[in-house]
Amino acid sequence: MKIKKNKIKILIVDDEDDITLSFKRILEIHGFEVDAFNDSKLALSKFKVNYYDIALLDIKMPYIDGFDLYKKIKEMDDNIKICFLTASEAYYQKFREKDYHELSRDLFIQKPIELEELLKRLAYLMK
Amino acid sequence: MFDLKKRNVKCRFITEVTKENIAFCKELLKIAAVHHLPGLKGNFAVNENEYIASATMKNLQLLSQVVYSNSKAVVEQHNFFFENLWDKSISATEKIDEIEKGIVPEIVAVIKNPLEIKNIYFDVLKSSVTEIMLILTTSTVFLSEENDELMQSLIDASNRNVKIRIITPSFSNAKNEIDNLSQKNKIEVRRIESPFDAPINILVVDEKYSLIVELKNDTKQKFTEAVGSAIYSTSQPNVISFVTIFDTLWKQTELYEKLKDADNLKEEYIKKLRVADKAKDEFVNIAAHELRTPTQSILTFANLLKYDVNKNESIEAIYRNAKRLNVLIKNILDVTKIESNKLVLHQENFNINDLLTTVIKDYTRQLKKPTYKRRIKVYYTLQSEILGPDALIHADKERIIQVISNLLDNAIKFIEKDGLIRITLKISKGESPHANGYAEIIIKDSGSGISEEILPHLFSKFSTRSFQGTGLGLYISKNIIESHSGSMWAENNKDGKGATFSFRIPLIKTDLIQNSSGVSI
Repeated sequence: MKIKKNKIKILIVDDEDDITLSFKRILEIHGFEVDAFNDSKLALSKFKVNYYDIALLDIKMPYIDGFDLYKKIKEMDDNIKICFLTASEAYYQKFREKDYHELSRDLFIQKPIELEELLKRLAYLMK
Repeated sequence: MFDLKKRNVKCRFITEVTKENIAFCKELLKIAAVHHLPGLKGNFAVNENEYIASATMKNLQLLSQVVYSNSKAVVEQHNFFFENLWDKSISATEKIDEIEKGIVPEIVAVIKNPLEIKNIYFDVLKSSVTEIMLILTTSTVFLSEENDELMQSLIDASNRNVKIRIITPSFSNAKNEIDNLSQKNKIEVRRIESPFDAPINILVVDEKYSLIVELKNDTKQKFTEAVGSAIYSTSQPNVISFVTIFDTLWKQTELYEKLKDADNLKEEYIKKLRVADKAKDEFVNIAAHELRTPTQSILTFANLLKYDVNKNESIEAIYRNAKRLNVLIKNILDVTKIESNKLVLHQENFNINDLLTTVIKDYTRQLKKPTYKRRIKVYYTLQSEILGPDALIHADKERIIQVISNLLDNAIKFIEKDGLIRITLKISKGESPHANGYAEIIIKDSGSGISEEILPHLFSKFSTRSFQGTGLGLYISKNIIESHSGSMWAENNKDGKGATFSFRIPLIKTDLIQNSSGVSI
């Protein structure tokens, strides 16, 4: 049973400090509840099952990359909506073509993304 | 017989002229027309009315056992025989001349007896003085029971300084045997790609003898079973034809080898182009990633400025990311300059110790800031073999600062949390009295070290062990140092923790005396 509250809860995992910090700040201002991690291992160990609505995952990360993290999170929480953030098109193409055919292109957000567009994408995910 | 001449009787004589009977033949020529016929056996004499024959003669004396006839039919028959032999034979004068001048008689003979072919084959090989040309359309002879004898004949000839050239098909089942032979001896072997239509072996020796051997059964182990017939020739036009054929094929194989080399070269270029193409793609990907990440931060933090929260934090972040973009742009421009040989150095004389001290102080100040989350200590030591403050180098100051900063930034980046960086400046007079002195800067960190995977191509473009970074810094640094006639290298620390990066740059002055001192910052 998913515990529903008013605010949409977002998990952000990105190894870039400034990305997680700026996204956390701006999304909080726009009424989201945000947990942000720079370390994918830590993000996984602190993952709250059936808590988040959306996970925004960077792909190119040390230790556990975005796709592995996606698989592990999905194993724990099938209801969570996952969206990938990436600054490296080639990196995600390579992985997507190899193992993750089921992921549609809609699930990928290309960095840099403007705030309005990001909010639209999040609203679309929540439909 | 001298009597005959006196009586003006026309006298003709056929014999085999040999070295041994030359004197006799010359005497004979005074009284008779003499012809030479090789292999002639027996004696007979014939005139208009009589025929007489004996088995052989001894000391010019007729033997007692003779055949005599004055029968018209017998006399006519033997006159006919004599005329036939006369037509087939050549002038004795010509033969005497050949023997006296050592001229080899021209022979073109078809030999059908395999044993005889084998004997001639090896006799001709063994008699070689200047050159052996061998065309093997198949490698039968190298795999036959006679292989040892063939090998030995060729090796002996090579030892006699006979020039040996062999043309053989590229796909030979005796490849190893032929390769061994050519490697160990002065024997040139060339391979021809297109298989020969006719299974023949051609042997030409000293441009005097040719032996064309037809192979009737290439699968046989014995030479004598494999060969069919052969044409042996000492006829110049004949032999020269085969020399020409051989030389033409030899040149063709040379062209073929060149063509193959060109093909290999082409393959190599294509491979290099592919590598370059891959590197270019990688560059675009990394550059795009490095452009997009700080741009994202700038966009979001700029947006945050609209709201009244943590304005200073946003401004600092925007500045930090703008600087990161600036570094990326500079790096890309530097790489472009390096690769097009357009890296311009603004060189001046300065003291490397002073420069290093200033750079390190800046870093130490940053690292000691209370806002800095990690604790990294920096130690600096000067070891000088040269007295005084004159550790001068002639270099581009900004570029040297860029290199030191790059190495220090890397050291800091790869220290996960807390750690230390030891920097040493060695001023050396050089290894030999005439060698130039040099300054060596050694930066040793206690970070995560260089992975084995990265180590071999550490200074290549895009070799990065970091998830944030272009992998251009070390490539640029090494190129800057090398353009100052210096060198740069790196290794993992022997104690297993961290890495040491060093570079060396020549000093201007070397004529000062030894001293050593240590300074800590």
